[in-house]
Amino acid sequence: MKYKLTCRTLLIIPVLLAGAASGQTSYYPYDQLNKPTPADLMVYGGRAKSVMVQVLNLTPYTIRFTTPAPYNVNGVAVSHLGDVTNRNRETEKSFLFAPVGVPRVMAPVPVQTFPDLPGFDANYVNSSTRPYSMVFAWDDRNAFVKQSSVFWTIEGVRYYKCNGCPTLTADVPLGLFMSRIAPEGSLRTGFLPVLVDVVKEAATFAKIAINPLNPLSWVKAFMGIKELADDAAFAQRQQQSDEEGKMYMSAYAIPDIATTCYANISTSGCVPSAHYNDDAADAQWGYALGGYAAQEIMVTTHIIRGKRAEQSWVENIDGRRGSLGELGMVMITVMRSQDYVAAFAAHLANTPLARAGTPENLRLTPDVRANVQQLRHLLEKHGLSGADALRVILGRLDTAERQHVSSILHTLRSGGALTNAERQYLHRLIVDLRHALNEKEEA
Amino acid sequence: MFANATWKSAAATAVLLGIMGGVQTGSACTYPDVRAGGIWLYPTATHFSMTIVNLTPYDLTSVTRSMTPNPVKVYNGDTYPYPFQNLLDPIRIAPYRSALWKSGYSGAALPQSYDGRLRFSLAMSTLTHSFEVGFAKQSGHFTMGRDGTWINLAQTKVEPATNDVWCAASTFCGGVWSTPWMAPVHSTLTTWNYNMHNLMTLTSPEFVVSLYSPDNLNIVLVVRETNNDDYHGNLLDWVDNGGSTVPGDCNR
Repeated sequence: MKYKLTCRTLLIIPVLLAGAASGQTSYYPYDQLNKPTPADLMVYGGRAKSVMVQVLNLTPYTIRFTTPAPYNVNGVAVSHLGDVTNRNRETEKSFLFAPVGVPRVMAPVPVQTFPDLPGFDANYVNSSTRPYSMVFAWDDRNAFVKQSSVFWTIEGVRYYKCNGCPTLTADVPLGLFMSRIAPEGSLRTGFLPVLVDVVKEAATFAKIAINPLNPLSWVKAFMGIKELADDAAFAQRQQQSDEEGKMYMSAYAIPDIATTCYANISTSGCVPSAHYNDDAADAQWGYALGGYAAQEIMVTTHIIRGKRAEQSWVENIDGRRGSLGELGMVMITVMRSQDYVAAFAAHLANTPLARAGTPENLRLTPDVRANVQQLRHLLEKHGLSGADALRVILGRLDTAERQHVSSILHTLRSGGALTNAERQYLHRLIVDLRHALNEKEEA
Repeated sequence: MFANATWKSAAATAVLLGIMGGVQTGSACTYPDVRAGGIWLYPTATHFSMTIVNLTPYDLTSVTRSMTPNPVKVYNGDTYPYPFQNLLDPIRIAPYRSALWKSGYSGAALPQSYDGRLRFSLAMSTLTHSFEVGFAKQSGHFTMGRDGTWINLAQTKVEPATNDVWCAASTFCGGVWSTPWMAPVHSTLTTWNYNMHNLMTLTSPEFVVSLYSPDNLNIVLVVRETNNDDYHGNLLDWVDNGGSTVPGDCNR
């Protein structure tokens, strides 16, 4: 399969330089007005001034903690993790801290689960991959800490500059940004169930046993299975405000230091793109902004917002004391771009969108409907091997093409109409998948 | 692997002890210390909460009600003797979830202080681990206008095993720094740590427990499974208390 975007990337981003992106630890995306990025999600720190974070590494790359050099954003120091040993209680302090630490090393998913990498084993069972948990909290006695960030490095990210070009590797920084600026606006919800479904598909690609009847405890918690069992109650919870500590949180790869985007952070709004940003977001760099390696990484975030506690002395009508609250939880998943797109395709194939007779289905043109149904058929028939074939096909595309596919899938999911070029592109993708699976074209 | 102190932890221990010792001996204080230690909380009538975060794949349960000599009591002279009612009813915190208890009072700005202990139990695959959060009421003192509470983290034995597997204080263990701990409340042990803290951490080969207060009004307890993971923990041993709210001025 050969797509026409093959070398356009090189022409569009001549300013990008090849090579590793390393040591980029002074990135902070907020401008003077503290505008959020498209990847920022609202959450509350609440009375505990704390948030719980889990990171699930679904890449074949090791992710390692990085201690950044101190830096300011518009004159305000960004708080990082560090030792705090000042025992003079009369010295007022302000800082970010992680009471039970942060993962220094987040292990990669075993290479046996990646169909495009040497060592692939279709029968492999992955019992090692799980999220890494941590808590972040703040001491604000001296001054309220507005901006905090934590960095890791995704090591040895594979990329190439065009179809047929040699594979290169580079380290890509991963940033977690916490902006406690009391953002205005109501809490929104909507994308989380979709994103969780996509993450489930990606976890299945990683050969993690996702048993819906008896899920692993981390799967149950990370995917919010219990909370999502009641759609209405979950939506209500997600939109309920807490009493204090409203903030933004986002996580994404950081662009190559050689990009013009990175060089003009403070003026150009050098921020990643995301399809949604209500209670979940998928953050990725456009190929013209992030550089070759950073755009290979997709970082998704979904938030199960905290619950406000009722005061203990209040007795409900049944005589019980006020109910307990809950801390906000931020779940971050790091994936290769091709795996995310394949997982989104698998999600799409399993949604009612492709089923005949639904309103969404009626909006599709016959050829698009046929292609989506074909995708569903192939993935259902071949199971994980079908998805693996799709991952291989997507891995052969350059990143611009892959993002084009992603855009098509998101348009389909939202019920939008595809252009003629997109319809043809989708058709070619299905044809390639059919060929990869040795399937004949259906009438 | 966690029990053996490395050269790094030994060096850091020396630094830590040096810091603590230096402050204690180098500071002038007007009033003598009280026999207490831990995290000093000075809750107002409506601003006190306790958050418990379970970052393990096991249920975290509180077993306070069966404890003696007494569960956590409140001293505020009113008719609500057990504001911890929700926690006194044994609660179960699901894996990777949390619970937030919030104190409250019917409007009067009376002080609240607490005395007693909460025992938490973590039922792992083969052993049940326990630890305690102790509450020690501190009567009005010196320049203070009202009562407060010392809250501390205390080790207990692993049950049913008899060997104590807690890592030594002031060592890097389980990916974090273990801070000086308290002996169990009401214990006859004499290993009291009289220092004031804002964060206390217990570590074992299996899990890490951290108790902290970001503002001396609210308290947070976090339990994380170690699972042989490689974690980065900073040396956290600070004190940041408002000078007008502390009992005496020697507990630093």
